[in-house]
Amino acid sequence: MEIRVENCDRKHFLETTTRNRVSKMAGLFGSQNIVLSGKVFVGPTCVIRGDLAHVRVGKYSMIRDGTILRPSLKHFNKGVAFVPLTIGEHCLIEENVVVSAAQIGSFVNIGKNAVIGKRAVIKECAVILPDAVLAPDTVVPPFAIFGGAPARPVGKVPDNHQEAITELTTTFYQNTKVEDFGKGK
Amino acid sequence: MPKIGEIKIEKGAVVCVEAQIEGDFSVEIGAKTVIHPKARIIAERGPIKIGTDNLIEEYVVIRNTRTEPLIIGDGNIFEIQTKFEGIKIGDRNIFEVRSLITGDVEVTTGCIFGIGASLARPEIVKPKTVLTDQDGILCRRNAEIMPATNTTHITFLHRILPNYHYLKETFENK
Repeated sequence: MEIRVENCDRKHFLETTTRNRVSKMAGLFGSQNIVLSGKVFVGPTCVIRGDLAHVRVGKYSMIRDGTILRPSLKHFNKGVAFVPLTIGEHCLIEENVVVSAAQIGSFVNIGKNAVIGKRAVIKECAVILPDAVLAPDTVVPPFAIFGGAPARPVGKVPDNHQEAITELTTTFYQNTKVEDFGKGK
Repeated sequence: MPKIGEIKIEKGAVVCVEAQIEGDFSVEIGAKTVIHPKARIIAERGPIKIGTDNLIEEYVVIRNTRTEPLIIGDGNIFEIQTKFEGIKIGDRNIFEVRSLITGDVEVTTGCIFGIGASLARPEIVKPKTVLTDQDGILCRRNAEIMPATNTTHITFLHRILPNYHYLKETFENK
């Protein structure tokens, strides 16, 4: 897997006390239900729908431009409810991804323009290729590579995936320059 | 019909203020319709009339590029990033994530447009057609039954969305 590091040398970011870097152009709705665990990057024009259900994002997860995190609806015998969305640590979610999953494990890489179907579960160290369309309720096993529309298994991740993606997300976070740190001027 | 440039939201509709309703022509939104933030409804060259029980999610673009009014029926679901620039929509259709309808398309009743399905040529889509995009190839088939109604979903959103969003003012029927 090729790993690309872009230098996001941008202004207009906010940094929180737990060192999350959130673009001012991102739309975070229902912020009392959104937990960013620290050193999370949220790119411009992202949408996080905390108003529908809880959204929890682990440390060093990179959510790039135009991605939509949206808890999905589940029908029960008695009415409906939104399923909380949990994202693990060191996840790299590329541009324009629509995530309506229930759970995404740690060290997961989701390629550009992918669509993660409703209530899908992605386990640790899995990779979703760009333009993939993951069907609703799919469970992606650990270390699997899924691609295509509809997505199906196409391989297994290399042995060094965890180290590679840890380094990638850490470098990505460090490369995002935040000029206004929000500390007392 | 309301006057040119007027936005008429019927009582009971939930339209978030972050949703953009723009254009020089009138836009009518029926009762119980839910419009999520960041959706765009553009009455560019003609008016738009949206019926009841519709669900319009984030980054949906509904644009009228013709001078005749664009009429959308009842109980349709427009999922994230759908783009519709067609002629007419009937009742109870589902447009899944990123479906793209740009041609002079008339959608009838109970149709499902799968993730990424796109129609760019003039066409009248027959009732209960299911269009899906499988690795770039558009597949068509006919469904036996109508898609399920979205009433429970809409009732739930009616309850929770006003807790988190400011809503656009609705028009009282006097």
